[in-house]
Amino acid sequence: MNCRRVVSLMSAYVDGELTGVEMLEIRRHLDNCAECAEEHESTLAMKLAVSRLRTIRPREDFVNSMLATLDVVQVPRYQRIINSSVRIFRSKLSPVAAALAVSGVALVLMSAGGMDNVGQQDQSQMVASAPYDGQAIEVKYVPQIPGNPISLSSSSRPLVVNESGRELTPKIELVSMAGR
Amino acid sequence: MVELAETVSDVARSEDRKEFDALVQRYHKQAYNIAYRMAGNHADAEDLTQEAFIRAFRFFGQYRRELPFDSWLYKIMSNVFIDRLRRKPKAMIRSLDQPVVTSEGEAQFDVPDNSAGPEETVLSREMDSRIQAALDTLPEAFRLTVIYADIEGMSYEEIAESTSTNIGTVRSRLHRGRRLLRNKLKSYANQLV
Repeated sequence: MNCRRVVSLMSAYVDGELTGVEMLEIRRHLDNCAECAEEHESTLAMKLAVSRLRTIRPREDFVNSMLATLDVVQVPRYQRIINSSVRIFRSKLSPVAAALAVSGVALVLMSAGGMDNVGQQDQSQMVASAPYDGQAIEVKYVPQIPGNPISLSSSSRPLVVNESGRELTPKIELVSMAGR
Repeated sequence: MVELAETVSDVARSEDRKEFDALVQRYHKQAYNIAYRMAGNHADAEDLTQEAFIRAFRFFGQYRRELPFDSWLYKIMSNVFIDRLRRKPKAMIRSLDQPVVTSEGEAQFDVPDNSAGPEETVLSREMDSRIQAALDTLPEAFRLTVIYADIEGMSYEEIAESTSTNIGTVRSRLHRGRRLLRNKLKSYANQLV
């Protein structure tokens, strides 16, 4: 191992974060290279100096003021629900199933307006309770035949349905202009 | 579905809060020390610590109880530190040894000491301030990596996890960060050991 390589690995060497082989090679190199040995001393001294910095403590009442702040922290509704769902699903389901389930909950929340607190009316109720007042549209379609102009016309008539809701007289009429 | 989840959420919230409060009590000093070394002053250290715990509280439901809380907290703190310190305008850096010029002549800058008693002093206060001033000049990512490695004694793997990067980047940041520190403190090299 050359000096350049040793210097580039010096920081990891003092942290013991190299492979056994690399550690041994550098140790051997340091025994024979005064310049790299000096680099080693200097890196080690820097590491030790930072590790020996005083532990700085917060003021005595800091923790209480922080806990008081947490009292007024508003966790958004969607976040709370996602958090709870993650916890429940994690304890009951495999990670993949949990992830899928949480995605599902998130989608439900988004579709229910949970993300933005904008209330949405239940549209399915609106549809179910709407008065039944339909009109059937009768469409006359004329297939395109060479030499004939295209004709598409519609007219409305009262819709007649039986008990099962099926239209009694569906009617599609093909009209050929050729015969007219 | 939403109502059920909300009911479960309300029950879980009070339990979460008790558990979270206990964790705040246990880890706030450790978090504060890192925050101070990142910020270099008490006011910003308080802001950073508080912001990190608030963010942790918001996502506490997603914290996996089988993992150490401090590892999870460090990850949140890393994001808060980098976000906040990058947004903050650069503070004026002055030497603590430089006399303060007043209308009545020169005076020495006085550093308020909020730490515990003298038995905890492991480096001279003067040297401590010099190293802190040198740390303040490092790019945030380098500073955080040096603090995690040398103050918290974290492994490269733990640092990589906490800073959402890979081990190669951690190694590079430490190498370069320590070299920058050494250059800043070159004239005090004989006092470092």
